[in-house]
Amino acid sequence: MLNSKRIKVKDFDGFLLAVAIVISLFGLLTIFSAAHSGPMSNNKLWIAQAIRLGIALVAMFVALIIEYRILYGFSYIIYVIWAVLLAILLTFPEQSGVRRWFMKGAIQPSELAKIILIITLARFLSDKKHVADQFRIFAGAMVIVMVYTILIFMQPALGYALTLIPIALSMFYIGGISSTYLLLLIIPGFVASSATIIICHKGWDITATSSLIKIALVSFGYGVLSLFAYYMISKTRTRNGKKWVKFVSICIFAGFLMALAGTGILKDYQKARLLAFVNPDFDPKGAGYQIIQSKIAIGAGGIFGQGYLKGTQNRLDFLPAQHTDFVFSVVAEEWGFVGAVFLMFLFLTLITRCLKAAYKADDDFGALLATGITAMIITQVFMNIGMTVGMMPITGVPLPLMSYGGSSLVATFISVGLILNVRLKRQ
Amino acid sequence: MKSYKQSIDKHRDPEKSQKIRTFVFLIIMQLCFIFLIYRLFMIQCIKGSQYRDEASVQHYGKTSLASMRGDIYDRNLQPLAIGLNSYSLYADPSNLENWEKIAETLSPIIDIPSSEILGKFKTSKYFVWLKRQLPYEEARRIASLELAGIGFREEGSRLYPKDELAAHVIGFVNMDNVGLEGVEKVYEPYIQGRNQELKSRIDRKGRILRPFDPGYEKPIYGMDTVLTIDEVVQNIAEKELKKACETWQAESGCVIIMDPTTGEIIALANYPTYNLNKAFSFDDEQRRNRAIRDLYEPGSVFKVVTASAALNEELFSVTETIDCEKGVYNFDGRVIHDSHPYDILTFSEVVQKSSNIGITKIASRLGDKRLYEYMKAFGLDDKTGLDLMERKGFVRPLEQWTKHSMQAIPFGHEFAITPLHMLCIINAITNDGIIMKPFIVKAITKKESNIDNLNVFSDSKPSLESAVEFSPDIARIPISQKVSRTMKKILIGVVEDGTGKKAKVKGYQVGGKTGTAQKASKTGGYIPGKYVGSFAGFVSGKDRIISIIVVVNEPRGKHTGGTVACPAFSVIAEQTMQYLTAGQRSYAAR
Repeated sequence: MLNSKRIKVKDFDGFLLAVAIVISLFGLLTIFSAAHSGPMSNNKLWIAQAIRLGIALVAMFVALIIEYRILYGFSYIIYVIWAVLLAILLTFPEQSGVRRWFMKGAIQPSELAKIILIITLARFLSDKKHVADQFRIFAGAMVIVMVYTILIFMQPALGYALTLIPIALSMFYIGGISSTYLLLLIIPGFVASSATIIICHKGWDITATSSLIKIALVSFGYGVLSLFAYYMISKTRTRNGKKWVKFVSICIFAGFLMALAGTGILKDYQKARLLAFVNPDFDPKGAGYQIIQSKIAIGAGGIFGQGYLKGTQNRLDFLPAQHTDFVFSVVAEEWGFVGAVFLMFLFLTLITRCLKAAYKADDDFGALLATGITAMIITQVFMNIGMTVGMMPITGVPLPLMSYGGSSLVATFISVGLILNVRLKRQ
Repeated sequence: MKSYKQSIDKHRDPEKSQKIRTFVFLIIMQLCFIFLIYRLFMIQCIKGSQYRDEASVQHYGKTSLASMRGDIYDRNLQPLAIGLNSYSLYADPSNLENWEKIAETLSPIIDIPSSEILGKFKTSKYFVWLKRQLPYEEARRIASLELAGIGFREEGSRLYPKDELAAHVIGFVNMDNVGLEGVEKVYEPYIQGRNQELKSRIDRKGRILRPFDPGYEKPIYGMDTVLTIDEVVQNIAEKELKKACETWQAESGCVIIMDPTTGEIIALANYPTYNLNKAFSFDDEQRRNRAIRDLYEPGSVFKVVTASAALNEELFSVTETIDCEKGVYNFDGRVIHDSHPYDILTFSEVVQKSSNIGITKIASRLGDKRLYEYMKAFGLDDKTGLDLMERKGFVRPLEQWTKHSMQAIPFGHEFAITPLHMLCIINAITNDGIIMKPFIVKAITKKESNIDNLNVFSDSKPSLESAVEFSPDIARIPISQKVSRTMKKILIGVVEDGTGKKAKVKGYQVGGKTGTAQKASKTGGYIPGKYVGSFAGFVSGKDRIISIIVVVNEPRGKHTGGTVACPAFSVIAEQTMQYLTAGQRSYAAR
């Protein structure tokens, strides 16, 4: 595996790197604007971010030159070490209700955890590609994913934890795991999230007896329906059809159970965010505030924007977290629809190039690694922008390469480095 | 589980499958982006202007500055209420050089502790009010310091230079410079001017960022008002009313002076009164305009109406004799007394001596129906039409009259009117049977003003060319010219040889009627020992005639109108006529 192959410089994807750097420079520009004026003005933020960009580029270079198959060898060890690290983090005292950072916010291990998970999963899936027992592959991969997901969820960082699921799904999919198992994830996940939102929205207290009775009735009714469907199909359809009904029923039921567990586990502010997502006007001064303000800022940008450094919602501080989570809203306000679509086009280009690396990878490990990274980037982009336009709940996922913050920037550039690396190592 | 996994495995070609899956993955990603772009398109392109409106609503704050009210003048253009420029002091902390030093400097001038001023500096980066509505002198002192980052905004404030003079006519304004009483309230739309709105950009916490954004509206002066009131006459009325009320320890009193030929109110005084500049330290007892708000039973003064009606219906001649029954007479079971017993009196003498028995007999020939018609003709069940907030008179409809009403109403009981109503009755007598609509605002004029910074008093007088002038208007004609002239003679007789002798004025012809009414209690019946003494009449000399009513409410000791009201009437009439005729101070604005 580790034998030296000649590097073909023509396979170095300079275009991908250029796009990544352009996006992060655009990020710097936006951070400068976001922190430029208003009562929170801090003209040093963009300098700090520029320094981090430098560090990130160095990290990317390291990720680029090392033989990426070395990662294959170390992956399990790193995975375990990082899991321990995440577990240690949970023992730290809370900082404003959460435990996400080492060194007073300087380092956020969850960011690198994503990459480590991707590497580990890539190794696991590529190793087991030819194992006949699909269930064992799936179960093993799920264990790998869930350990990290739960550890991160407990920080609590719901948004980060949720990004791991699409990454895992994408890698499972590309890794060749049967669609059946993917559905086993997707259906309960969908049911669970909708049910959680409904339960929160209705304000049911799942610990109260009345709510339990309601839920029991719903479950019972659902069971009757499933049996009825099963009965109907068993008379007319094939054996396979019956199995599908059984399968889907189990998935949905699992989803309900997850929703119940979920509402019990979710913190109040997380529930409030979910509710605000369903209806921002529900609490316009509180949880809905960010969604409303973000939409106002984006809408106020119009087609051509208000001009750089002239976004009123940004500068008058109406827009929350304008240099971190809502950096996209600043772009949309100041550069308008044209600018926002341009930025999204840059991201789409980046992601397409990443996927091309996966497509052209020499081996399954590289392909899966690139796929995971692509999925990671798009998930974050989608969750972040979706959040700013009110399409996704507020989860605190940063916009890769754009949002203020070192860990995300470094992690993303390491990812880009790895992608370049995978692409590079072709004969 | 195994069975359908096998069925899927049958179709599996790992390499090909992976390519297809990668491709599917790419499609899904692109769909995600298209979805996001669609959302952006909806928000930015379709609903963009809507969101922009929402945004601008958020970051414009409004500060309301008091308007520049128009002035109020008397008929000779003497100022009674002045709209002043006052100056509101603000700071722009980002431009301040030495916070502590500036706070120390300002503190004694604006009388705010320097620590508090420093605290204000810290609340906003660009704009904060330090003190609103500073007087000119303080503003000038601060302006002369020429401090960077300190500035002024003009704001209106109100000054009443004569304190109490014509308080009830002028009325006053609240803290926001909005008229609450009197002319200030009724003519608010003219006087107010345009309230200025200081639009300013605010941030999320409501801090004002820049005060002078476009949208700052320049102050516009309200219109000036010229009253029919004559400052000098008003002063005479107030002074004499106060004297009379204090002499008789009266609870309250009022004086109205009118020009019966036009309906102009030359003076309107109430006791007790209040200082307009401190209006809020007084209550309704002092601030109520009793002359037009309080109803009272006029008593004998009303005999004028009964007698006029009888003459107008040609039921009596002035020389016809009436048996006054030696002071006591029983009408259908109700005994009526006269304060002085009389035997036989002529029609004129019944009014002059104020015989209740005589006037009741006159009224019984007139009949209740016609008496009621005349009361309505004099406008006693209505408003007089004055342009202030007056009260309607209270007269029971004919159906509700009892069998004894005709032994009370003819001499002024069982109904209630305001002193202004009573004076309008006298106006009919003195003005050939015509009641002119009373009015108090002569003109409303637009001031030629130029407002520039730190130029405090505007010297410009109202120009009458651009005036909205209010011209005299006939309200009612209850009696004929002939009857009014006859009645006028009778009323002159009251003063020369009747109950109103103390109202005489040397050198002028005076006529009128006294009234002494018991006060009705709210529960029905009359309160023993509580009276209203009044005199309503006119004084004429050369080509001038004015009508005056003096009402003294609850005097102590003596209580007849002839004693408590006539002397005040006499002095007021004399001084007013001297002022109006001898001094040739006839109406400058006419």
